[in-house]
Amino acid sequence: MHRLLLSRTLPRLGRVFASSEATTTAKSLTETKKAASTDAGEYLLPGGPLAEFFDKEENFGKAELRPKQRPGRSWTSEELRLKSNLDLHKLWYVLLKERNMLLTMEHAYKIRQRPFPNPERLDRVRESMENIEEVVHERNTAFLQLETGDSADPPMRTVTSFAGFTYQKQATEHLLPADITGEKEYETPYLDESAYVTQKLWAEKQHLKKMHDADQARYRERFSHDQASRYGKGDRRVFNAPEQLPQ
Amino acid sequence: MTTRISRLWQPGNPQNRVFFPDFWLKVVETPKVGYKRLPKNAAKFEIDQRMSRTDVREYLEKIYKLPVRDVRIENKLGDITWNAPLDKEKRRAIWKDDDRKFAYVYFAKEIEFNYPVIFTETDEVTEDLEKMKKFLAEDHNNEKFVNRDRAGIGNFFGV
Repeated sequence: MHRLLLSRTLPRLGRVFASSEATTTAKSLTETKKAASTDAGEYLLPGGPLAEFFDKEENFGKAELRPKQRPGRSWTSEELRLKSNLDLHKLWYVLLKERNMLLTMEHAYKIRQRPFPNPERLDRVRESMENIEEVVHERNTAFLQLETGDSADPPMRTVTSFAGFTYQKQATEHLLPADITGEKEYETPYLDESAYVTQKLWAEKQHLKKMHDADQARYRERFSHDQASRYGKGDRRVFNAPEQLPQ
Repeated sequence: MTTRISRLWQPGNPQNRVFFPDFWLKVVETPKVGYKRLPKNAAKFEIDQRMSRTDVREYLEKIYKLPVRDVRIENKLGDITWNAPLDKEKRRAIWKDDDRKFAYVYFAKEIEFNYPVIFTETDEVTEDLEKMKKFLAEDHNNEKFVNRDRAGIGNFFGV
């Protein structure tokens, strides 16, 4: 079963998004567009050696693709959770090649100031790839929590910038420990005078913004009752029927 | 592990492997004449900024199964829009485009690559454009109203 999938996913399919009709991967995988050989020696595809970077000939120069050529929606996380790791790995590369093809075509259209047909294809590929990452991250976390107790999230450190602002950053690996090199980026350093003053002024400004917003909210609240129109400025009130007269 | 997390490598460590590479590659056109023309077995790619020439080689050999002979990298600074371009001392940059990285990839001699012709003169888009232009050229309706307060002075002194 896996062997079947292997020979069918490696050619550039480009249409392995789950469309509304295709309910299973088997169905979408049997739609092979090019029977490109997977042997290392045979790299000459019918449309040229780099044909995988370009769309089909019938889609060249179009302002919008025909319905049959439009791919379906992106892969959702629920669908991807059902797939094995091998399938996800293969799908990643299918999506990667599709993305490269779309970027190449987009560039060709952009430099001629022409609209790229169906640009949502790029968004769908990106979403599918993000979902694959999410699912793989979940599986990694589950495995690592069993084995080590830590999750698969990369370790983060709080770094202080020159102006005194703190932000999160991924921890990097170092060859030598900090007490030899004397460098430790994520310690809380003493701020110099200008940085200290910047932080104090920043805190003051944030506080004033909050007070200002609260003031505005209270002002608006005063006029949120029925008699509000009596205090508001505007044109003369117009009554189109006796029912609209004030009681 | 991934391209999003960098891992240190020291001699003696096993190969650093990336299972879900995030890198992208675009094929870019090159002129057919002139000094920037590339040989038939070469192609120009725009690549992700984080890629090195070994990354490009591995990418094309393993994912696209292409026989790569040589990869050369060009880093191109993005265009800067100055407020006063000629005043080199005191000009200020208003906008800078992103930097771009290009790879000139030379394949084995057997490979012959020609960038495909994507746009022709007879596209349906260009046909529609031509039709519209023709229609507008024959539409003289506005000319009756545009200069009606000019006492027939004509266009010599500008509109």
